[in-house]
Amino acid sequence: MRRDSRTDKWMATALGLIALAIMFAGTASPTHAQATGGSIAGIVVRFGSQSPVEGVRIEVVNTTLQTMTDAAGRFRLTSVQGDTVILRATRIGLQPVTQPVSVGSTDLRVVMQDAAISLDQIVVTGTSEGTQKRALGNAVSVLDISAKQVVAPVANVEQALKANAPGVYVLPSSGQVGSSGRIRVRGVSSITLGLQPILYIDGVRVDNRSRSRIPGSNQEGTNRLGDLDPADIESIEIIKGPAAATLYGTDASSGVIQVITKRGASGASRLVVSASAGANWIHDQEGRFRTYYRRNPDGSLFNYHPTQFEADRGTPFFRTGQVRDLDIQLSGGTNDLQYYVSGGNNLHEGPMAPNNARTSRARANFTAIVNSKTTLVANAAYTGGKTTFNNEGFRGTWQIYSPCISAACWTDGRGFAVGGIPHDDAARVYKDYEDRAIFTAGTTVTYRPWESFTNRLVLGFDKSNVAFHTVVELQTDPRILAAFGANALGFHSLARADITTKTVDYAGTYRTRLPRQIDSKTTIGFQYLGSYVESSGMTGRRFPAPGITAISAAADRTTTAPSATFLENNTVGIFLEEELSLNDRLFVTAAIRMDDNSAFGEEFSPITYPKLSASWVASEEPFWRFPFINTFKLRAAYGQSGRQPDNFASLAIYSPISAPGGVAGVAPASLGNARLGPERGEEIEAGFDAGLLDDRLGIEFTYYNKYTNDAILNQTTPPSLGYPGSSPVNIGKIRNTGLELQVKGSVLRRENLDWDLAFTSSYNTNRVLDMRGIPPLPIGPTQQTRQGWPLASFFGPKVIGATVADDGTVSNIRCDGGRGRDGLEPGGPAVDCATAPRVYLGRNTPKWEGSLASNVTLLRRLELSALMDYSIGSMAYSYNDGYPCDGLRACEINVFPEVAKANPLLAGDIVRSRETQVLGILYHTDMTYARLRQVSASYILPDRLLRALRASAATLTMTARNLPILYQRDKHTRYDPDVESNNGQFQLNFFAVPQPIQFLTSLRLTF
Amino acid sequence: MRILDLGCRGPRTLFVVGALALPMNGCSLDRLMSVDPPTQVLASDANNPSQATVLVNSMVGEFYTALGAYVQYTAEFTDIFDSFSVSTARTTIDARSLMSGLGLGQQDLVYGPLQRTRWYADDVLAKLKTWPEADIVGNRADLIATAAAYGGYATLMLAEGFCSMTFDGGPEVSRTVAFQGAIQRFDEALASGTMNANILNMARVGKARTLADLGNLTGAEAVAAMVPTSFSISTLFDANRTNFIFSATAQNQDASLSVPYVGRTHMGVVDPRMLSQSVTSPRRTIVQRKYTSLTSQITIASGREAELIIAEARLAAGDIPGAVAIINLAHARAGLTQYGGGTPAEVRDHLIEERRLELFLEGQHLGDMLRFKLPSVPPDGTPYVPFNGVGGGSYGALRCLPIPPSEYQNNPNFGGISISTYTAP
Repeated sequence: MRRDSRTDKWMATALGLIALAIMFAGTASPTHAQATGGSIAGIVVRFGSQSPVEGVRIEVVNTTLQTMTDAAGRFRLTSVQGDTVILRATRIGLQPVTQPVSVGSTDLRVVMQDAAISLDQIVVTGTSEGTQKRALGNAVSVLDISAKQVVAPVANVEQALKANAPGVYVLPSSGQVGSSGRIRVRGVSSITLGLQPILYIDGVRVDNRSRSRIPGSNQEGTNRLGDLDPADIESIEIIKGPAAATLYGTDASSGVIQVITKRGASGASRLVVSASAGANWIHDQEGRFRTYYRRNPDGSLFNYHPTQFEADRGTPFFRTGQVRDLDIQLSGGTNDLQYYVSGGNNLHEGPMAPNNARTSRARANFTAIVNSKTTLVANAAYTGGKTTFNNEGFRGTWQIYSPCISAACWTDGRGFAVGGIPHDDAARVYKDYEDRAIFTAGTTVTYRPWESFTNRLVLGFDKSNVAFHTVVELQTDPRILAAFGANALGFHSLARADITTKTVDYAGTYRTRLPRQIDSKTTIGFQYLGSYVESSGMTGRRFPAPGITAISAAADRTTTAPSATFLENNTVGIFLEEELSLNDRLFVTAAIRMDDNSAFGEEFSPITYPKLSASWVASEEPFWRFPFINTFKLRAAYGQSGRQPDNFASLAIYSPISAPGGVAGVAPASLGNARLGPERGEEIEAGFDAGLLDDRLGIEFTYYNKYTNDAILNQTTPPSLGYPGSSPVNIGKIRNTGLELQVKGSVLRRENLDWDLAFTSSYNTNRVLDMRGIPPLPIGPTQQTRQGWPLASFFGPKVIGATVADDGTVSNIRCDGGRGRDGLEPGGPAVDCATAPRVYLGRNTPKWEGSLASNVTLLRRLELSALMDYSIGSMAYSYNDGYPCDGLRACEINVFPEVAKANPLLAGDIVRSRETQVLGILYHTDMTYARLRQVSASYILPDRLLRALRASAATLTMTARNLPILYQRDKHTRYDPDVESNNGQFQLNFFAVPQPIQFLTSLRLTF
Repeated sequence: MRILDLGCRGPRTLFVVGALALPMNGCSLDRLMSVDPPTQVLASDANNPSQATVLVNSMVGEFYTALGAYVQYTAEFTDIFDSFSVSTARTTIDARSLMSGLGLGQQDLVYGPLQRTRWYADDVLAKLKTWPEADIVGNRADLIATAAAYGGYATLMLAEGFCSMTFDGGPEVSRTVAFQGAIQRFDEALASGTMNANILNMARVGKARTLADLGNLTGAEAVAAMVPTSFSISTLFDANRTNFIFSATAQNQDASLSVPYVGRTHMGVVDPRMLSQSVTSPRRTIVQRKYTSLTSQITIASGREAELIIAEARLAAGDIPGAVAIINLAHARAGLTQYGGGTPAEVRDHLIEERRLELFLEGQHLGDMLRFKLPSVPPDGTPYVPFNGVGGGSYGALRCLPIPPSEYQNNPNFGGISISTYTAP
């Protein structure tokens, strides 16, 4: 196997850095001392409404003493030395408060004001001690999940991300509970590799790849974000592009999501119990789904609305799914040891039986002040659960989106015919589910031998054991046997995946004061990430008796051969970062990271990613003379990070085969590419943060220009070279440019009334700049990745003219002849459709997206919030729209001439599609929409009720999510623009369950 | 409460432990960066003299697969079969309307497996010649002969079926050059020193067939004469590697025997070498009956074929009785009445027909059509009846298979299609 001397150099370099850090550490003189002291206690309230604020970090400056406020906004610090100390209170979204406090004060009242722009907020950046936002040259989105969970709870993390961070696009794969979706940060930046951002939980890397979907189904599957309980999360930080993600190295160019879970606060133990109940249902089934028509031989019209028909006969496709959540959190501790332990149990039923997700979770976070220089944070979390899916498609939603309406199918009186599979039988007989057990543990040691030198070491471990099952017991009902065929004799398919990720992450930061008021912060770091995936599969058929489903009991275990595979990937990286600041106003940061990865080709040297950023808090300069702009920061950043190739893609490989005589053999399988390296993301971004009108209005604006250099394309191996398939080569180039805007404002701030508004918007353009002559890559039926066009765009013939006669006959069908770039831009002359080019129809991610949020606090107790989001300019392939009108010819437009006359282009496209067998606009839908995403009302219960409940705080919240779509540009479609069945570049809606409305009532009690 | 009071040495102890642990981990960095795929074999590991027999045996298995694909698809191309497939690739082969630039890789169905087998054979042959004999597990001469003979056959089929081709990522070469390459490989097998009579006879038949393709019938006869009539070498299909013609016709019914091939008789007697059966379920097709199971074997080379090559040479030399006598040997084996002979042209036609029957579905007919310049059936321009809406237009004018886009679009040494004509050569 490959290896050369570069590894030794790597090792030497890394060890040198570690030794350097140890040397620094070793020279420190221990000053730890046990001491007793006084206490400081009080309450933190919000300016204006005077409501208590939970989760505020209270720290004594220049000590390790710190705590968090509880749900009632209270805090207590003990063992405080001295007579007077400086107390600092910080929280996301609030202006920090720093004030001198007399030791012994136990009735402090700290008033914090909403901060539209908070430059002193600390964010995780890969260094040992985080970085103040003022020093950052790039934008980082920080979401205060713990605060949101109080006033507008979400069921999962993807819901929390959606519409809340500009430039972050979240699209679920299905309306089924438990299914995960796609997340794209600043556009689509790879042709062949994964596009999801990488995920860290408390500094520990976890595997966020989409877990395999259940065989034969359309569901996206699940992922680690879906396993997290939002109740445990303090905040989420999203690092959006290569300019910001340089220190995360290889694999971070599509963004980094940092999840920070809650930690305990010193003081008396606090118990928080949250209970939620609610429902999921599909709204407006009559309008959401199509009525199908058939003209009978006698001229009469047969019509069929599947969901209505089945509901009327007592076998509805959809149901009202129940939601029941229970979360218990216990936190508290002393100055030296704080703890946060939690447990939860959730049952979410989807809108289509038997879909449900049952999850049990437990978490323990400990923070220990080992001595005055050393802090140890230990986290451990377990998630176990089972998610059962409705097998969308042929056994589920098929009859809704593509029913058989011919007379032959209606012999049973409900359109399933003999041999058909009624959806209710399928839901009962097929059991498709995922079992999972996930454990994550991490330890973070922070050692500060002296005030100017901080070391942080993170050791982390994440393990997921996931098993996907499809089970059919032996059936005895002749009707079921006839309908389900061989599977009705018993079937059990099992696919297991054990995924382990290990993290070793060291960073040491040294601060010093240089001449001319320049502060220096130097950080060195070393990181090891290991990923191991062990998967296996087996199938058994034909069980001897009902109730037996063990594969070992199956009569046939060989028709589907068992499989097993193992993947390993390792990354080692080192980095050096230097941050210089002048008067805490002007910051310049330069960094370089060097990575090696086991997926790189043997002849590919370790890769180096540079970074350079600057920020300038101009509003703090003495010359600043704009009183209405009280905060203004300019920022700019340039940086690189990468995306690793697939495991083993670089290797020339032979595959095992069965040679003549049944003996073992091998055959060339993949030529590989010894020079294969990562895709290199390169980005420049610039923008400003501004706080206006006494920070009542905050604006964050960012422009980015991101390139993916050395994008990996799979180049077909010439057959004469002996290997089949293709080889990955670093030859592509992709560009994403865009704008991000976030405006937050406090419209009213009165003692009994607060009203805040927030608006986000982002814009993205995408283009494949270079494919080195590789022909357009087809993706699905109508998408292509083509040089000069947005990645994975839709192309097809576009009918631009047709004449519909009174009897519905269509003639004079003309198509767009194309113009401009490659002759594929729409808007060309009308031509015969038989010779028309497949012109550009649209891209697969939105060009514009954003949200508008409103939050009103009344009488300090009632908080009303609403969130509307929108998406503009995305296209999707929609079998749900095309096939009923083209294949079945059972739409209104097929049987009602007046409808055809009103939609001549679609009527023409149906005829054109039938004649040429090429899919056009009929099979595509414009996904532009605006939706009222969420409304909620949260009420802080009055003290007399609290006394009755023996609670110190209580909040009652009612939330509704995924409310009706306010606007959808495509009037013809039955596509729910809020779901998308596939996670890759191929974008389609193929029988996906639409997003259900979710209503949730939550009660949160603090004791 | 203090849970971990290590005193003043605690932190330092922790970092000393860390400092020790990290180098230990660092020592395994080599291993971290050198991750092997556990379910597959690195090419560098496979190419080992201890694996020589495995490699050669594996290559032979790949040849069987390539042969099955070649027989099936060239039978569709030459209209022995009508495609009943909804695959556009299959339909365009059947309609002789393969075009460059379609990007569908239709010809890869044949070209890819043959090229991979040819490369595999050449690669292992080259290594067998350089590995020390003592390190080779297996009989070196036998292995060399086997690799060369099968490599020769893969090259021969490429040359017979394709208008042009390329080797090892090189420039485009003509069929003639490829035929010469095949002869070179057969000669290498014959000169290997092997005592394996089957491989030697296989190489002889292959060489004779190639010489006939090149028009050197005298040379072909000389080589074919060394092959005993009883000789035959076939595939070794089993449960893991099956007869593609059976699965494509009898099992999947993706292809139906063309009408001219149904019920062939000689003087009123049904020829047992070309049996067929009409079926109506699940669709109406005519199934060939030469291969009756997934493990029915395909003959690669035989004494019967050598005899027919000799007959062809006799005919070309003007020895009509000699040619007829050989034809009647085949008739006798088939239980048919004797052929009485005729004019040279009539005997030639009968010999061509005899080859069509005797070597039915053995991958010979496309080569025969080119060598004997037989007209395409149905004629060019005949309307092509679509199946399930796939296909249409009319039959094309292709006589040989064009080099596929997968080769000419990705082979940097391919300077554009210059030799291919895509029509009758």
